[in-house]
Amino acid sequence: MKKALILIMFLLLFGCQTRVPVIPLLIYDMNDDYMRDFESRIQEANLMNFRIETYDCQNSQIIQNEYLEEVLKKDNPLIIINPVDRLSAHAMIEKAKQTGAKIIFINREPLPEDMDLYDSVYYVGADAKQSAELQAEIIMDLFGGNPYSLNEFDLNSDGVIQAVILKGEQGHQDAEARTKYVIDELENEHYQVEVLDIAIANFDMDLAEIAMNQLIEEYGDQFEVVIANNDAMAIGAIKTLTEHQYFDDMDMNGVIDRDTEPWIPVVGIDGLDIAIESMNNGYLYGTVLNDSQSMAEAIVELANILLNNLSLDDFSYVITDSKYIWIDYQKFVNDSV
Amino acid sequence: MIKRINQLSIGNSIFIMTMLIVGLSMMAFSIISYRIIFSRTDDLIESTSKEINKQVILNYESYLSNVIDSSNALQKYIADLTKTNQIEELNSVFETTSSLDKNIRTVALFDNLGNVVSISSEGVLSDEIRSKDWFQNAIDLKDIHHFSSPHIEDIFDSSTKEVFTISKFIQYYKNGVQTNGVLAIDIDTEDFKTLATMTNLGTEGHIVITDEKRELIYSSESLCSDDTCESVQVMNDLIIGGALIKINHLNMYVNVNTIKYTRWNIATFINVDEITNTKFDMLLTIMIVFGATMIIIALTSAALSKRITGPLNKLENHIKKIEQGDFDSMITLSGQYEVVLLSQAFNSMSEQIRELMNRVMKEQREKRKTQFIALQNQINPHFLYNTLDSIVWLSENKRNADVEKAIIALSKFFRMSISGEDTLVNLRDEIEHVSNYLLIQQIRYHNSFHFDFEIQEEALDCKVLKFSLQPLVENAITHGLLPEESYCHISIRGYLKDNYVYLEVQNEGYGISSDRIDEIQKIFKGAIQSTSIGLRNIYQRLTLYYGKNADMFIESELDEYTKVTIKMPIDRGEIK
Repeated sequence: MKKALILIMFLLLFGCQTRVPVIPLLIYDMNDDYMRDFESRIQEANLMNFRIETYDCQNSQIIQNEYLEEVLKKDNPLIIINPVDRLSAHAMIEKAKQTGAKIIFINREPLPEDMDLYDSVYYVGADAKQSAELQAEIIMDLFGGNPYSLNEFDLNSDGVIQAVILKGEQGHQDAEARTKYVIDELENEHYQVEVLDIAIANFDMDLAEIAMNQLIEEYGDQFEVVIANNDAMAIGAIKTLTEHQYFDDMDMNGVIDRDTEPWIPVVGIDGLDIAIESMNNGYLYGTVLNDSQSMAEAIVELANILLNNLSLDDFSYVITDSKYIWIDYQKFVNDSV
Repeated sequence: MIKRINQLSIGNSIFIMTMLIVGLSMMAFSIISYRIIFSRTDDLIESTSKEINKQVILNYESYLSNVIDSSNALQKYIADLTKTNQIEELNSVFETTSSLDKNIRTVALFDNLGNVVSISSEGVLSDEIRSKDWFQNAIDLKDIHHFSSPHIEDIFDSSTKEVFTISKFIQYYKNGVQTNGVLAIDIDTEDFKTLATMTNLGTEGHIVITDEKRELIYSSESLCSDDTCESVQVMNDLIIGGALIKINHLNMYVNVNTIKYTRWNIATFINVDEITNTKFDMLLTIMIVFGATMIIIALTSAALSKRITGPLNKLENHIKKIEQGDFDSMITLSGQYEVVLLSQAFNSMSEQIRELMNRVMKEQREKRKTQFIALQNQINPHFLYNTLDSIVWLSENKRNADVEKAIIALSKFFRMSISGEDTLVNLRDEIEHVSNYLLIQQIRYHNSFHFDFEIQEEALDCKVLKFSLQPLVENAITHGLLPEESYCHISIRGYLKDNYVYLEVQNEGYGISSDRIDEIQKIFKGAIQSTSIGLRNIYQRLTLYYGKNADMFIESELDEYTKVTIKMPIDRGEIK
């Protein structure tokens, strides 16, 4: 009887102790389509012996700070953070350093000087510059690959690519980088580019629709390509362009036949499902696949290594500067339509 | 320990147990309610403070986001207008911007060497723009807006206005060529400071802002003027989050957060002294309630235990009384029902004991009476023999008249002797009895003695022990009559004194020595065995009947007299 009681107590205690470890995942905003998709990829990629608990920071750094305080109080040894405001990362890093918790930042890269504040802080993400360069490559291929002899997509045949850009949030690292480097890369490759306008649409589909409307009004007959910082804005632009018959599904089969029906090149970045679908239907010309699947897998693997204090030498991904895990973007163009 | 518990009185046990149970449960209750109330209060402080902190930050963020929006809009204008070389146009855009927003004092675009490209207002420009922190920071870290600490506006040489500068690396076109530059916007600090006073943070509540290096940028409290001030220390310890702290003996709830768009940290110090004091008051109240309850419980349990033990103590005293032989008093207890029942049972028990004792006493008395009668009967044969001897003698001398007198006296004497079993008779009857006896004895001793009675009138109706006088007279005759002398006088006296009846029989004669008196007294007290029964018999009967209240003593003077006195309590015949 006594032995049984001790056994039960032991089991209860032991049962409590062997509960799977929890890793908090602080997502900046679960209303963001990309992040929601990314979050579920991370959860699906997690086949490890720990649970990832998602916190929705509702696009508020204050809420994110509160969650951080809460999970640090629970002595979580590792936290995955998708920062709301990358400029606030320095405070989050110092706070985690105080308790010795490790951090994996994802999707939004803190300033390098902030990353240097603490050894146990990592960043898993893609290089915004690379996405812009790949986007530039798509555009170069589109215009024939020769900067000195543009093909038929140079509508006015002036040898210059007339472009409008749909930019993400002003001041947003990715928006600034993608906007800057896509043009830089084209120019580096000796393409002449005329940016007719840069419209700011905050990475948002609806805002992109409105912005595109104004661009059409102003430069309706001039732009030869629409460059969007992300797929969501590209899709929003395509909606407006379709309304203005830049895309015209004349046979109403739901697919744009590029040989027979009017279309205009729109390029995005991210490789969202709706973007792929749009591309398969002949609307979106191309996108740069933000390999969120690999990213999610890298995050889970890194989390497992950090949580169990395993050696980073066995990590399947390359670690740069012992802090950064860069996941490559991939060009994605459907030429078969 | 257990032994000690067992030795406790009922009252103490009740008291201690009650205090223990009530004390422990009250303690548990107090601690639980204290903790609930405290955690609620703490939660309230925390949530309220966080709300206020959030509000303050939102104020700052919306204020700063306006500035950043302006900057972003300006960047677009700069790119557009420099491309087409419309520098004049750009100047007017800058002017408009600074005039539309009263917070914006100056907007300026510099090339990467610090030379002005376009500026919103006229003035003598500083020639060291390039060395300014805000300029360098923008060049060093290109993709973010930089927020400087408040400083005297340094774009112009002569300005006295305090501003902070927002600077951003930008790319613009110089003669159609893309080139690097810095956009600087000087913001008046006045509104920024007013924002801090907009929220009521309580007495000495304040706002502190530090930069990413955790150096002080701004404090709404004049006491906190550099990085070493307590508030900044607290901020740097916390980094992010809330805590209850004490600054200048005031309870403050501090919340440290970051301000979006900037790399700044902001802390709100909210005075929560009042709420904390409420907490203290609550603690005090709980303690008072606890104390009062304990006192009430102590009094109640003391009263209760007294209600039980009080009657029990009375019962104990009563039992002690019974131990000493007092079975007559009854005990009436009020109080606890069980105790009352106990006292009733006890009463009926002591009543039964008393009845039993009465019965035993009665039996004892009966036994004594039988013994008494037996002693009484011892007298008669002795006397009868002597008297009959005298009558024989009278008859031999043919004194018929004397024989007749003697026989009448004898018959009277015996009639009285055999009349009833009363122990007591009136002195009058005893006197008559003795007279008869003396008559008989006078005949027997041929009138060789005289006698007289001196009896107080009041004494006549007193009850005296039956046959108590006669043996004394008999003794006087036996020992008083001297063979040589033909004449002897016997006096019989009876009187009342000090609640006692005294009967004296005195005869003239040799008297006896005091040694002899002692011996005789020892004899009748039974200390020395003797065949003489007269006096001893009386003494035994007296003490048997009256106890120590009665006595007998002998006085004598040699050659004069011998006097035997008995003394017994006055009894006027009312006895049972």
